[in-house]
Amino acid sequence: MLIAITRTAFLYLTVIAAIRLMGKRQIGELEPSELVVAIMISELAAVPMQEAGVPLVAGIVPILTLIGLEIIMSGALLKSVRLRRLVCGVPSILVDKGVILQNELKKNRLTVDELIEELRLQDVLDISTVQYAILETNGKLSVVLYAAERPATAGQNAPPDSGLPVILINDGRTLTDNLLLRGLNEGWIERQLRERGVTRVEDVFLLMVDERSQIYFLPKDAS
Amino acid sequence: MNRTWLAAALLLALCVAGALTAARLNTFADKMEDELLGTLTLAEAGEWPEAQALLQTALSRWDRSRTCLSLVLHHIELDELGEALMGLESKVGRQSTDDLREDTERLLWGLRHFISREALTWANVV
Repeated sequence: MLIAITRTAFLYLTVIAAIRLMGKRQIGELEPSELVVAIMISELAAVPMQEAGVPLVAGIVPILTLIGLEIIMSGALLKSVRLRRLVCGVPSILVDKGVILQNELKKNRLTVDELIEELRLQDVLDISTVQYAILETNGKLSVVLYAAERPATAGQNAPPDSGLPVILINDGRTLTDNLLLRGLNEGWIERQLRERGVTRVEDVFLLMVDERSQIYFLPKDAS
Repeated sequence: MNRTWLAAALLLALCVAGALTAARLNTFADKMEDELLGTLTLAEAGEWPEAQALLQTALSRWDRSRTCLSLVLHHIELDELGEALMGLESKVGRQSTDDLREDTERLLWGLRHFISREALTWANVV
């Protein structure tokens, strides 16, 4: 049983490393080659995990090979438009200025019901309000509404942008990298703490500052 | 780009490791074959102490290579080969030539068969 636990832990770490190496895109949106790799990796890891008689290498070597090939393939896809078209395909316009392109639907083997369902999932009930609906290469439908149909954006009536807040103190620990990123120093932190009646960094649960130097401060609970 | 180079290095390392493992296994199989056939010849000639000594050399080689073998062979196959080797050891220890040739040849065939699966040949690929 200890063998099974050790082998599972080993394969688990290998698969995490594999997915991590392939990058963030892998988790959210899968291109065809990435989908193939994701399926194959899970299958490959399962066999030596279940059967102690199968060498661990029989699972790990193919997984590593797949990662290597996938990364090289994604590098090649970045460089070559032709290869990208060949492997990933091209986006298809399914709705053009409110008109469903039936040939494109057929080509993508989509029924009109599926298209309408996808539109409904994006809160679009009236096709005539759709300027473009594009089936992306990862299978997701992008919907572009006519300007008059789009909801008002924050930019039309927005307060000044406060930028990305960064954490300077996290649960009693000063994050020096973030401090440097904002061009601040320990002295600044000490001043801020003094102003708020706190003497030690260890007593602060969270201190954040945004690009407009607005501060969010939360001391630790007394308990 | 760093990631691509890392991937290329990983694939290269895997290829090199594969080639080294295959070479090591072939050398192992050749040496085991020499030693087991030598043991058989000596046993059939009645030179039992020499046969036992040569078989011990083969057995210690087996023990040393077990980790490398377990990387490529299914554990059940390893157990089968190990069992066959112990059978030979027992026969040579008892100075018995009954089925010794058949047992040795069967063991060598098994060893060659399992190791030849790792050879990069078209037949193995398809």
